[in-house]
Amino acid sequence: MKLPMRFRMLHLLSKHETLSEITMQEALRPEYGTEGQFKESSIDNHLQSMLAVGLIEIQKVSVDANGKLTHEYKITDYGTGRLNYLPKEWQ
Amino acid sequence: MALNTEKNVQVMQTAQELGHAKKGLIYGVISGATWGLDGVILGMALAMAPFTGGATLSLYAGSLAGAAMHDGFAGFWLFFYNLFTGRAPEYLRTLRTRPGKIVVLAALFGGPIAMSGYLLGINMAGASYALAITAMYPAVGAIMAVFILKEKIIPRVWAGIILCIGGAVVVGYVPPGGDFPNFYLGLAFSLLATLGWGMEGVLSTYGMDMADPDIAIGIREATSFFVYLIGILPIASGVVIFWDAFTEASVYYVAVAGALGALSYVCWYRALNMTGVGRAMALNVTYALWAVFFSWLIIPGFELTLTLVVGAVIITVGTILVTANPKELLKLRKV
Repeated sequence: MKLPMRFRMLHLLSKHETLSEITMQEALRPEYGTEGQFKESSIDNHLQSMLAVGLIEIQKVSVDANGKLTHEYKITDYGTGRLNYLPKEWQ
Repeated sequence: MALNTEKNVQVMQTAQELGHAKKGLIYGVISGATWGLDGVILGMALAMAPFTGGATLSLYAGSLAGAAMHDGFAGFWLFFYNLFTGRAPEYLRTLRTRPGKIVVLAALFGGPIAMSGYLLGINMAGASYALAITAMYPAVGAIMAVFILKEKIIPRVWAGIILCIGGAVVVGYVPPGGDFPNFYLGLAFSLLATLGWGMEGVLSTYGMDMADPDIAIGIREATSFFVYLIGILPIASGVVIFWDAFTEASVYYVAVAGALGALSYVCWYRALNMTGVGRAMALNVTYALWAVFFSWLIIPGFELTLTLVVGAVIITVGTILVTANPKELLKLRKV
């Protein structure tokens, strides 16, 4: 079974050095792309919430051609600790 | 490109993080206001048949039946909200994970355990003591958040939390009176409710690190409802009242209160997730102030006493202390 999307985002970050909003969206698309929750704003919100509580951190931030901030996010040790809560098939 | 200088990028980044934090504070304020209005509407429902009952009805059976219906309606409205926002599959996914189960545990603490403790506390020790003790749940939650979540709470915010609690106690003050043979047991039940609500905030916030707050609150309300229905109402002789309510006009009031409760809880859980337990709970306890305001607005002849005004001023000062300087919210925990 799929993971809750926020938890899957944390899991994906543990499998990559860094992920941006865009690469995260592309990584999630095959699993969640058909669902109503699969929106840029939802993904951004999950990332910002995980950032505020320290599960992830920003490795690099820049401004794209449209003047919008883009980030490279990285999982922290604190966030990695939470992966112990993953169901067995995901560990 | 000038836009992309390091300083500009940093300014934009801080503004974005501040925007997230401020949104959390606004959710906290809305949670308090809607909880206040919810309480007024639910209070109107509980003053109607069948919740008032007859001589055979225990004092808290009606209230517990009302609480069960309230959480049932809130869970029902939340399910539809999540269905329309395309999140419905997240319910089962979340429940299968440990964070989901932590949210269920939070629901048990905050729903049936705390609410039963609160009602038994009022019944056995009187409203004045029960309300004063249970209003301390934000302090209990904040203390637990410091130890369990490593949440950062500075002295000014502690002062704000204490003022919000103090204001809530002043607003809800009822002169002590009556004969309470089980007084100390009543105090213990009130304390249980305080711990239950504090524990709910910390556990649900922990679970929401990995789960969507809108789903977490959907699970919370549904769990609470089913435990009331299966585990609490049969013991409290509230099953008949529960079903009877569906044939009375009071059901419409509870349905509206449930919708307000759903909105309040969505905002509260989002605030817990976005601003931390200490601040979110302090903003949530401002419901005492909002309940006075809405009672004055809705209930004919409601008297605005000096005590209520003093309590309102204390809560307002506390809220200002809690919400001042959202920059402190950029890093919520010492991790």
